[in-house]
Amino acid sequence: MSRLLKVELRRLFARRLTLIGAAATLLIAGLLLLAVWQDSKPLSAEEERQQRLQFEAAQKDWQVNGTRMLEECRAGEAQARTSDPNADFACDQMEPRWESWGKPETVFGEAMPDFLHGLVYLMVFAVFLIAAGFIGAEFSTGSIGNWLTFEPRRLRVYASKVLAAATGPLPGAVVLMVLFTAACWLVIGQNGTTAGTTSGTWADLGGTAGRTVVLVAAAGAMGVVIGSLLRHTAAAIGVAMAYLVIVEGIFAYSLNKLQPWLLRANIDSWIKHGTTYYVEDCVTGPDGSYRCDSAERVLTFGHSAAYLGVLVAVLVVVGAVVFRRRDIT
Amino acid sequence: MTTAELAVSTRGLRKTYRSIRGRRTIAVQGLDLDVPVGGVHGFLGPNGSGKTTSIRMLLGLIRADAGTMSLFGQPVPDRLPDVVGRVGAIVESPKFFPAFSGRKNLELLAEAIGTPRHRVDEVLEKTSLGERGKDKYRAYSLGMKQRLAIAATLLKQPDLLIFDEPTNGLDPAGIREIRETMRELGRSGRTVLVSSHILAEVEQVADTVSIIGHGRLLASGPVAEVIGSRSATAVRVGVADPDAAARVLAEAGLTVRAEGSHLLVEGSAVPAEITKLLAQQELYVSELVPVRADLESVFLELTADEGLGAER
Repeated sequence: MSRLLKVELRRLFARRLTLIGAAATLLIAGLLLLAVWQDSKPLSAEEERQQRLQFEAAQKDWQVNGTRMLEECRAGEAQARTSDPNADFACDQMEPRWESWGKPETVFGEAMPDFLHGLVYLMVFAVFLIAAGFIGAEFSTGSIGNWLTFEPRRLRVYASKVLAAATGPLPGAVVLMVLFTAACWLVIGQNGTTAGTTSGTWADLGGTAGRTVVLVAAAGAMGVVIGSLLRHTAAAIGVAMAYLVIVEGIFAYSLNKLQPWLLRANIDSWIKHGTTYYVEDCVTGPDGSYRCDSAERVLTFGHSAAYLGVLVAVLVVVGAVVFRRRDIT
Repeated sequence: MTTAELAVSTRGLRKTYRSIRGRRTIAVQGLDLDVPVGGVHGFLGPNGSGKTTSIRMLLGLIRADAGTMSLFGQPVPDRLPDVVGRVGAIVESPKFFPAFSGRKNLELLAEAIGTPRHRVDEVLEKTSLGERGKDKYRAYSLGMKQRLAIAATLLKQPDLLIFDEPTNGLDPAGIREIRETMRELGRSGRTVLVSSHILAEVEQVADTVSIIGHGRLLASGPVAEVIGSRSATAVRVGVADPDAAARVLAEAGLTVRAEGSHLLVEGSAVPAEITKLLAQQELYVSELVPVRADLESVFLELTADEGLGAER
């Protein structure tokens, strides 16, 4: 088994698609870094002057109309509370303050999880594509049949391919995350601040990295499973894209209460160690009025861990059964 | 012959393909096949007669619906892992990774079965691919691809080699090369099972033969026996007055038919007897050639019996 795994890993790294995929991931990670630079960049002197002018104009307006605006706001809030006791128009925060005018300084510990989040999705997608191509090529060239005349124990062959696709990309993923984090540290140190980065911050980032490694491994395994079930790289990519567009795009938007059972929300929750999502709660009042409010819901880490674990396990088993029984023609 | 003396044995092998719409196509129906150990065994049948399906079942690539199979006495597919090291096979066309070099393809296969890497050099040399080993597989000619596939089968140093339509698409030089390779392998004590619908190719190299049609065995045995059992020899006779000669021979109970300016005397005709019969009537032969039946005529005869319409 270890011999087969070694061979599959050699083949994985010898493939041109793997190299192209890795290069493209590096390139896009570079672009993400550029976005980090842009996002963390403080305002220029000219931009700050413009902001200051707008702030002063707002202050003048407040001095003239502030009292009236505040009264109107409170009246509106009181009106709203007749039907919703929790209605809050945030009237106390209407007065212009400079903190909310200028661009806040980027803080490494606060911004880094979001920056890393983008990189995680990039790596998951790239590894899925590489893995689907890894097995899809075997079916489309017919070399899988040749391979099985050398090693007819199909479950071993299948396991070696799944394991190779799951473990092969991991060193690269770890190195990329480390390099990206280091580069973000330098960029934010230059444009914002790294002050306040505690051991807790690093522990959180380490946790995110660890969960990302597991997710990348799962993406590799899924690429092989889907590629093997569909027997073609393009079909596997097509299914992934169709899922993203139809299920995560159209379906998730119109049936947002089903988000806990969709892939993207669970991946978010897995990476962030729990997340929230919003649903529209619509009720018909006693007066016959129909009202919808947006409500925040929690998606726990435990839920997403179980969801992703079961999904991966089921697909791997289904893939194994089909691979074992399939006629190779 | 016991199963231990047989390289390949199948009994009652069946395979039916079902399309998505539920249409059933019987590819192999109750095939009994015996391939003795050593020498070249031709596996003949028209296109679509079930040759490739049978080979795929033997190699565990396709699941049989019914029947038993064994390789060197070991039941397959259950014990295939135990015996696969003794079997090298090329099923239909050679199939490798096109973006890898020939050498890289072989190295991966060698590593998978724990064969030392120097063996890759040996088989590349043996198949005259030593210098082109570094070239990408996709750049190979069909002949080179076929040679690489043979090289791959030799990585295992197998006792049984299965070649499925090995000369498909090859030029005459390539065909000769493959034929020589098969002969050499057969002479070296290995068993070569070569499936083909090109009869001349098989007749030139095979010691024994099995002919199938519609997934069933039609005839089997040493090539000479199979030919002898089905088609009687004939004698072609050249004579100045073919019409008179035909009457004389027919009156003697022989089956005669005109073939251009000659006569073809079929059945158990003995040339000396023909000469004697004609000379007694002062008809003197100018040509007397025994015409031996060949595998092609036997094949066509058998497949015609089965209504198979073999492709020529």
